[in-house]
This record gives sequence, structure tokens and C-alpha cells, in this order.
Amino acid sequence: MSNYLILSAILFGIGTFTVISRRNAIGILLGIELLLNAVNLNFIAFAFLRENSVGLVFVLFTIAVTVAEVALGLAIVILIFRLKKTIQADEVNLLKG
Amino acid sequence: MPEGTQIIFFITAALLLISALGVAFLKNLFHSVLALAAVLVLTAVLFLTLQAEFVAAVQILLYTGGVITLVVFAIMLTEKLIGTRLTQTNRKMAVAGSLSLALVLFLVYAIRQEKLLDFSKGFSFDATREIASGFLSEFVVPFEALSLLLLASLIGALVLAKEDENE
Amino acid sequence: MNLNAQLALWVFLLPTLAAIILGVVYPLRRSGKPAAYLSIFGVGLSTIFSIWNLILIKSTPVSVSIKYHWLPASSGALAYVGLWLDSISAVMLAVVSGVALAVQVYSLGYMSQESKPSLGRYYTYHSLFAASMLGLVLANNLLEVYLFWELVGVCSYLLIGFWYHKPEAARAAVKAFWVTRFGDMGLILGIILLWGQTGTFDYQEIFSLVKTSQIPLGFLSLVSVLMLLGAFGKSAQFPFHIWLPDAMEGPTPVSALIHAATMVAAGVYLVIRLFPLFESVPLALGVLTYVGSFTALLAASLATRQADIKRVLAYSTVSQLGFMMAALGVTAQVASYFHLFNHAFFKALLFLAAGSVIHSVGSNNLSEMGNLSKKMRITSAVFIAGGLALAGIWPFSGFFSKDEILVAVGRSGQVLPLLFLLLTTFLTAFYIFRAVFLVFYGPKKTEADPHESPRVMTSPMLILAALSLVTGWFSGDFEHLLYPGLEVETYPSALPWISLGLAIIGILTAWLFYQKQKRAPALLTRSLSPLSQAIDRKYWLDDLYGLMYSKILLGFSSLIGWIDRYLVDGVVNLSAWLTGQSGSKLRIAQTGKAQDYLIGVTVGLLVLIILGLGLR
Repeated sequence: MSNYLILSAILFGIGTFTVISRRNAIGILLGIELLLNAVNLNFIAFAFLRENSVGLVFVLFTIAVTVAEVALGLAIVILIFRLKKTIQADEVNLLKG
Repeated sequence: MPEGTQIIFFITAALLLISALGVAFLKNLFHSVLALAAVLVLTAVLFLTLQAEFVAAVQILLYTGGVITLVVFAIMLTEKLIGTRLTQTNRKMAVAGSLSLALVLFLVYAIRQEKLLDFSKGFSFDATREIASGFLSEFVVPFEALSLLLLASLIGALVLAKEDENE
Repeated sequence: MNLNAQLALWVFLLPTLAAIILGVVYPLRRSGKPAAYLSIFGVGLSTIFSIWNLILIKSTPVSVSIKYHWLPASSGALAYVGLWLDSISAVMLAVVSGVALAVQVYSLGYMSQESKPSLGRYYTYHSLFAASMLGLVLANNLLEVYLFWELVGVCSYLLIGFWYHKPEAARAAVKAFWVTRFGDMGLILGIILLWGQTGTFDYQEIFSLVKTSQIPLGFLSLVSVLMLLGAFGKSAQFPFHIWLPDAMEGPTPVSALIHAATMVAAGVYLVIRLFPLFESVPLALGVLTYVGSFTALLAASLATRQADIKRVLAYSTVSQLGFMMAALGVTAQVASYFHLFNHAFFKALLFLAAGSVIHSVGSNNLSEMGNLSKKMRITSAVFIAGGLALAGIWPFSGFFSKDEILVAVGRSGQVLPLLFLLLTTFLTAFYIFRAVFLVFYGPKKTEADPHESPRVMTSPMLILAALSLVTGWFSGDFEHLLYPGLEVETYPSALPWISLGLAIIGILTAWLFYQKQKRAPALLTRSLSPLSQAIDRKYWLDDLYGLMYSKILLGFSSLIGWIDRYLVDGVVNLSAWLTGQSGSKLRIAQTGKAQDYLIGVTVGLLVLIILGLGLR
């Protein structure tokens, strides 16, 4: 059991790394996918341990919401791209100050 | 755990880690996306070992099928518009690396502290049936709300990505 | 309301109404003569009513106190204003309105050169002053008297500085206000302390509390000394006397009214009015006696060397007020009030006559006059009459009242004050007749062509002169009026003879110096030169005050200013600067890049995990 958890922890760490270090906005979204995956794995492991189906339901919800989020995220990326002509995350600092 | 499952677990886990590292480090964005696809499929396999068949199926359908497709399209759109291959490196690698490492280490340490229950039993009932009945009884409201959410995001994405008519 | 009270009320209301009308109705005020007539009409009626009142009271003494609620509070100390009419206030009403009438009529002639709006302004102030003074006289509680006290001070300021384009006049007005303000601080402090102890401002309530010994003596001493400060300020006693000579910058009729007969007498009147308060406080009485007698001598000595005729009279007023204060100190209120009564008339007379001289000669300076008795018969006659009254020569009024004071002081056994006062008597006769001889006799030293003043100016003077001759004989009636039932005791005493002798010697000395031998004054001056120098510099008192002001007060102010700018403001500025600094430092974290914020989130997550682990 703890193997599964450790695995998900490592995945989470790699996901964090991706999100912080990738310059491309779409790269960042990929990192977010990794994070979410790690979390789902965690949930399922615990659901298996406790013989509780609620964990599975939750994961389903998560997946569905993630899909929606990705769609919107990409739409925003495209918009920002139109605005700033770049999808380098470094250069999008409109919130500065 | 019985030997067979463990072997599957370790192989899958290893491949999973390699693919995840691929997502993080591959310079070509397309390659990263493919690595992500691998990650998602392998995760589905892991779900199978945990007797969450339905979830595994949904994972492959939605994630691997839907999300990857979306991302590929997005890359194609933006890359085409710029016309160049995009570079992926970032100056903050050191910080990110150390932070992530620290995070992982602490989490692992925390997990190790726990005395976990016996993991061998698994579901004694049909989990899928439980999910289905759950959706229509206990979780009916979130279920319906989810459909609303999907509708909203659909419309939202359309509106956001639409070209301005005046231009 | 009984007739007396009604009359008294009208005595107050008439000038008030005149003042309000003149104040509000621009065209009337600007028109000059009509404004004057309105004001004179108001005061004239007041005089008639107050004399009528006095006659009524003479036959049936009365003590009426009326209160009007003027605040929504139906009870409590602040709730009402009112008037208290008894023989004390009735006499003062008559004096104030009478002298005011004389002065206002006289002003028609004296101020005839003024432009119309200016004349209107003058009479507005006069009416306002009359109203304020009459209100002060009639007040029946401490807060009310303070209100009118301040009003009277304001009118004094306005009238001293009437010719406001003259810098000396403006300065003198401010000086007068400022110095009396000092005294007023004492007064209001005393009033408030007394209220704190007794819970009331009402005269009669306070008197009954004092009489039944419900107020501790120490406290009462403090309160009475504080109030005396106010009285000394208004009545120009040492050390507050410095404003009165400077106040002579105002028009002469104003000097006659305010700074001779009425306003400066307010201090004395206050003490007389509140005498039940003071008579049980030995400290207050002692202060009164010593300050009064010392001031009398001080001022008289200063008067002997003045070159300006009005300043001679100003110092004379201070000196005579000192007499009154000293009399109060030995609990001889009747003598004091009687002297106030007489002094009002003859001093006003002297001022008006001086004004007449100034008007015809064009200068205030004694050395620019001379030999006027031939051309200005009436003026010289009335001035001499006033001078004789001031010096205390029988049968003029001053003789009677001054002697009563001397006898009272002598009987009290206080030697030093008595000596001061006797010396003052000599000096008084001397300085006033010095003025007489320099102005009306001797060689003519003026370029102008002197002429007698018009009838509008000489008639008031003649009336006042007649009063100066006559009022002295009524001392018995006076006592009876004020304190019916009081036994009038007569004491055989050598003092009246001594003072008469001194006065005559004073006159003779003046005659010798200024009529006969001209060298003697110069000789005396040289032999007493330190003293005469001191006198010329007014004993350096003005300089002392000026120094105190510029060094101490202004120094203190700049210290406070520095503290305010650098310390108080400094704290505020410092916190503002700190905020700005910390803001600009913290701003660095706001890069606007999402990934940086994510780093922050991760760090936070780490911290939480560590904390969670640690808490295990």
C-alpha cells in the first residue's frame, strides 16, 4: 500500500517541478495533469484499502472537472497568445506590482 | 501482496516514472505530450490492479482520448501561429528542483510514519455497482452540477476562443 | 414685575436695542448724526429711568432678583440669566448711564471732524459699551458677569483702537486687551473653581453658602485671590496697570467714559458686589490693601513727570482706583463706593476738559500749551474744579470720600498703607496742579489760536462740575442708601486735617515750581535724578513685560513649535516613510508571473507539511 502512496508522492513532485520550471504555458498545463493524476492514484489506493466506493466516485468527478479545466485553460492560452503574441509564461506579467 | 501483482506494479511504476520525467524534461513539446499520454495509460493500468475498473476505463476514454487530443490541437494552433519550435528551458530549474525534491522527501517520510492497515483484501463487493447507485442517490446533486459545469465550460471555451467578428 | 425691576430692565435694554439697530441697519449707521442721536436717545432715556429708580429706592429700599430661563435646562447653574436690583446696582446704573450720556453729548462736538460712517461706528460702539456695562452692573450670577466683563473688554478694545489706521492706537488696543486677558484668566478660574465647589453661579446662593461657612477658608482664599486678579486687570492695578496710559490713544471722550469713570471701575464694583465673599478672607483683604495703596503711590509718582496731559489723568485714575481698592481691603466698602461715585464725575470732567483743551490747541503735550485761562474761561474753570475735587480740597466731593478712606485705613492700624496713601495725597495735588499751571497759566507756548469749545461740549462739563461740587455733601445719604440700618459712626480723627494740609502743600509746591520759579523743578529733577529716570522709564515695568514676552513666551512657543514639527509630525512622517519602504521592498515579490506565485504556494505547502509532521 505504501508503495502506491509513495509512487503518487513522487509523481506529485515531478508534477510540481514541471509546473514551476516549464516556460511554455501548455507545458505548465501538462504538469498540472501530472499533479491531478497523482492525486487520483492516491484516492483510488485509499478506496481500495478502506473498501469504500466514495473514493472512486470522487475520482470520477475529478476527472470530469479536469477535462473542463483543460479545455478552458487552453482557450485562455490561445487568447493570451493573441494578445501578447507569445506563450512564454515568463513574459506574461500583466499582474506585476 | 502476491508476487504477480507486485511485479506488475513495479514494472508499471517504473515506466510511469520514466514517462513522467519525460513530460518534465523533454524539450520538444510534442514529445512531452506523448509522454503524458503514456503516463495516463499507465495510470489506468494501475487503477486496474486496484480493482477500479470503471475508473480505469473512464481515464482512458476521457483523459487519454480527450485531453491529449485537446492539447495537441492547442500546440498545433499556437505553434503554427508563431512558426517556430518552442524552447522549453527555464532559469528556475534549481529552485523548482529543490522544492520538489523537498516536497517528495517530506511526503515519503510522512507516509513511512504511518502504520497502514492490511492491504490484501480489496473490494469484497462490486465497486462499479456501488458507484452507479451512489451517483443516483448520495451524489446525485454533484452529478447534475457536473453536467452543468461541463455545459458552462463548453460555452465558455467557445466564447473565449472565438475570433472577434469585427476583425 | 415691580416698577424698580422694570425700570432697571429698560435701563439695560435701551442701549442694547440702540446698539443692535445701529449694528444691523447699515444706512442708519453710515449717516453719522442720526446714529449719534439714536444712541444719545437710548442713553438719555436710560439715565432718566435710572435716576427715577434711584429716587424710588431712596424712599423704599428694594432688593429684587429676577431670573430668565434661557437654556432648555430648567434647572442647574447655567440655566438662567437675570438681574439683581438693589441700592448698590441702582447707584451704579445712574452713574454709568449719566456719565455715558454726558460723554456722548460731548462727543457730538469733539468728534465733529469725523466722517459720517466713522461717526456712526463710534456711536455704535458707545451704545454697545453702555449696554455691556449696564449688564455687568445688573448681573446676578457669576457667569453673566463674566460675559459682560468680556464684552466690556471688547468694547474697550474697539474704542481704544477707534482710529485704527494709527499704529500706536492699534497697538494700545491690543495691549489693553492682552493685559486684561491675563487678569480675566484669574477671574474665570476663580469662577469655575467656585462653581466646582458650590455647584452654582448665583450670587445670592453663594453668599448664603459663605455666610454659613460651608466653604473651607483655604479654598475661598484661593478663589478670591484669583478673582482679584481679574479685578486688578480691569482696574489697572499693579502689576496690570501698564495698559491704561497707552489706552489714551483713543478719543478723549472714550478715555473719559471708559478709562476713568466706568469700565475701570468695574473691577472695584465687582469686589463691592461680591464683598460677602471677600470680607471673610483675610488674605484677600490684605492683598487689596497693599496692592491698592502701593499702586496709588506708584501711579501718582509716575504722573508727576508726564508730558502728555491725558497720561497725567490716566495715571491719576490708576492711583485713585488704588485708593478704592485699599479702602475695600479695610472693609470700608461704603467709603470705597462713595469715592468711586465721586471719582466718576470729577475724573470724567477732567478728561472732558482736557479734551476741550486738546481740541482747541491741537496737541496733547503740556509744553505746547499755556495761558489758556483767558481764552478758555469755562474750560479752565471746570478743570480747576475737577482738580480741586481730585486733590481733595473742601468743599469739593473728593475731600469727603478720600478722607473717609484715609480714616478707615488709619483705623485699621495698618501703617504702611496709610503712609503710602498720605504720600499719594500730596503727589496727587502736586501733579494735577502742575498740569493746571502749565496748561492754563504761564506763558503761551502754542502756535494755534485757542478758543472756547462749543456749547455742546461745555454743557456736559458744567453739569459734571456742579456734581463734583455737590455730591460730597451726600455722604450720609449714601451710606444710608446702601446699607439701610447700618449705624453711621463718626470718628474724631486728625487725618482729614492732615490730608487737607498735604493737599494744600502739594498745590503750593506746584505753584512754586511752575508759576514762580522755573528753575526749581529742574533742580529737584537733577538732585533726585535716579528716581526721575526711573519714573521716566515707568520703572522699567513695560520693558520687563516686553522682555518676558519676547524671551519667555515666544521662546516657549518656538520650543513647542519645534516639538510639534519634529517630534509629533516626525512620528507620523516616520511611519509613513516606513510604510513606503516596506512596500517597495515587498513589491519585489509581485512579479506578475504565475509560476513565481506557484513557487510561493509550494513553499507554503511544504511549511504546512513540516508543521503537520512536527505536531505529531
